[in-house]
Amino acid sequence: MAELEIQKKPDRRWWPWLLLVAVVAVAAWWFGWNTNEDANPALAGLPVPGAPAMDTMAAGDSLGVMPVVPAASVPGAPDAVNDYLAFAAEGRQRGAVGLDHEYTADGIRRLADALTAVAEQRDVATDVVSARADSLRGFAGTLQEEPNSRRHADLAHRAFLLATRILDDLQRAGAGDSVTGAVDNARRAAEAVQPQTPLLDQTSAVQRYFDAAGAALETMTGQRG
Amino acid sequence: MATDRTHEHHHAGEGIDPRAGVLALESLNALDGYELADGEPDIRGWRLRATDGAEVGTVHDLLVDTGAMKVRYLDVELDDRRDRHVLVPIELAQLQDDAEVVRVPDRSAAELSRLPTYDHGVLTREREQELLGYFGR
Repeated sequence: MAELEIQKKPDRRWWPWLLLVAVVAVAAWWFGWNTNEDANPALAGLPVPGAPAMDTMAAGDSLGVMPVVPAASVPGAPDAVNDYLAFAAEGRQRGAVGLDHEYTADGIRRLADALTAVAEQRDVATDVVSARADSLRGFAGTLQEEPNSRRHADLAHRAFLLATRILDDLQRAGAGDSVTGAVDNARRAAEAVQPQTPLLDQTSAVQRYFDAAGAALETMTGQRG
Repeated sequence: MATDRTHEHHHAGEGIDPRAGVLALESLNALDGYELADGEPDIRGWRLRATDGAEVGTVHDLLVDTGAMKVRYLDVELDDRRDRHVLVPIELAQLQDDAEVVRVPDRSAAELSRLPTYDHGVLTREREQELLGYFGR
């Protein structure tokens, strides 16, 4: 009569091993990723005071601009300075999104206010700074109203050079030698903005300038250097 | 429950746990690590045909002895009353591969329909003897 035999199934349970390998691979990748971030927090895209920012490091600025990330506020600094620093910090967080000529004009105005406030707080070169700050605001207005977008970069370039000139005035008027490096860096950042290149293609350079100017202001208000 | 109990004793060998008289048979449907040997027909789903030619049910499961690595009983679901299962010793069956039919010679449809109900509980030696008595063994 009938007879049927059975056998043990071959071990087809390979998928747990595959799952384990996948988990280990993901864990290793994750661990390595975090370790790298710990080794260089700037690579994580996090703002670290005084440390180079990620995008600007990657930019490899040939003009020698030292990418810096100023503090978002400085205790004891004039409100206008902290307002400017907060503005620059917000711009960094937004990245390239929204960094148009209006953002640049707004930054220039806030920078003019901050420079004026520093001069008044330190009571140095107030007349010169005030006059040049007015010119700076004029650049901002022209930049915002100028319909020819090809001029925006040139206006920003010139405005940044003027703002750097004011920083230089403040330095010479008694801000001290510790500011020299920060002002020089801001000058290089201003020169890095190419007048002939559309401003929208230079959002990193614009932000780099705002950061460099912010670092100089931070130093001047006594918290850096 | 029955499957759990038989799992506990399947290591006893020869299909019988000498401690309790429990047959260490297990449902192949519920047994993860075993299958029918290569080349053996999987008769689950085949029809059960009595000696008079009447088909009385369908093979639902196989009770296997993992010690001897053999199938011992066919768990058949009868047509007459839904969900009533009976056991048929495989050594009393004939397999007709071409028709996918399991034939039980010398037993009529009426005799097969009178087999005791298999409730998927523990199969003891005593119950096996009772079952085999229906087949005159």
